[in-house]
Amino acid sequence: MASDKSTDDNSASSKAAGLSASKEAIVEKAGSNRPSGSEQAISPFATVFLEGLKEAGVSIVAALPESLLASIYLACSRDNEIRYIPVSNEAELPGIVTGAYLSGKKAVMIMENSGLRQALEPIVRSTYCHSLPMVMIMCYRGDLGEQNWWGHNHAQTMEPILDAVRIPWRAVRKIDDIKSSIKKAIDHSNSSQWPVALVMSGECVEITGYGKN
Amino acid sequence: MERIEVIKSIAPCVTPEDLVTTSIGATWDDWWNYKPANNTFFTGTLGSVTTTALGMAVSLPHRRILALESDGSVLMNTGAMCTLGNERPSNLTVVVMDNGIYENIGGPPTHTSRNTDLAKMAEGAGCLNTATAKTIEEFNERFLTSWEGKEMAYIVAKIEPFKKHPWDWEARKPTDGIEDKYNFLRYVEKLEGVVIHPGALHN
Repeated sequence: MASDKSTDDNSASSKAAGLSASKEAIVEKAGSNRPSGSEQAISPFATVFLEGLKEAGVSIVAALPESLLASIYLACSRDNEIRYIPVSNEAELPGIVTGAYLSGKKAVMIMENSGLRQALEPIVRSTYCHSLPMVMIMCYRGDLGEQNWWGHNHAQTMEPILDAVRIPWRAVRKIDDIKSSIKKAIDHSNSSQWPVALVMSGECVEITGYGKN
Repeated sequence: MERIEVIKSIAPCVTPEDLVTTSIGATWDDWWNYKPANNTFFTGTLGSVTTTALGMAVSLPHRRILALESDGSVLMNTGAMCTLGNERPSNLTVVVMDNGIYENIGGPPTHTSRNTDLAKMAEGAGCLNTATAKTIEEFNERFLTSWEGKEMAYIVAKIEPFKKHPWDWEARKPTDGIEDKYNFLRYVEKLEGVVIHPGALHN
């Protein structure tokens, strides 16, 4: 009986988890920017983003994947011209892009905006000790219209943190602005020898209508 | 085995064609006095030595890259060894100076002084050619094999605590982090024949 009960509990708990996951999926996928029918499909903004990286000369992308820019990570990992380095913790990203920059390569780091908190010490050390360029690209989780209760603090903390450590940042909301923003961010970061952040929202994340205003 | 012995063993093997990055701490002054050229980036961030070396290794696969790590730095960012094990860059050798203490701040113990084994962790993380060297003879044998080898290596050198080499003030590394950056950046530009930072462009 005990084992039956345990089985029932597991079953109930996995059903509950499944239900909760599917509810979340409904919320997140409402009006997805991805072509329908495949989790492996690449959203139009991600295709433009990848083209923008290549046109700007970027050959190395280090990233910790998350959901709002999902097809960017997928596109980079599939592309033969991009050396894609997935990490286990955002605090690994500043070192990798620093090593690449000092070796003469153009590299960017990509993460959720909550990763800014995780990576902050190596970002700030690299910046203030060495005055090094660093192009960081993150999703604007918590932008206006956020439906996940846990997502709001990402934006609430990202904005003052970037300002506090004197990192210039711009939101990129239109697909038409992606390529010029990447180019400008790299130029700005290199000439200032200082980081720049691009924060992706609007048309440039997986959910239609996200942070549109 | 003392840190300065390890440094003296490594230095003759590193040519001006190789690139090096080091952990903050006593290694800075030791390596400053033995480095063959300005081919070293003195990383100012504890926890970012392995990752900086990884960025160099994937960028310049035709060059040997040496990371002079420390136990405190590795412990601060242990995910980095997992990423290293995932990537396994064949041109990268990591040497961890493991004295089991945070020496520069007076010597409180790190976890390696008790139960933590960094070489076993690196092996579990997927790194290749992992080893712990407890004597200078063991270290020399392992380092020479790895440095001349065709795969990545991760060598933990168990060095004695509280044995900082007593450099005179004039012999200590005199540069700050920004000068370190430019020294290394300009060195790589000449070595690779590229322009990384074109200087102070203005209208």
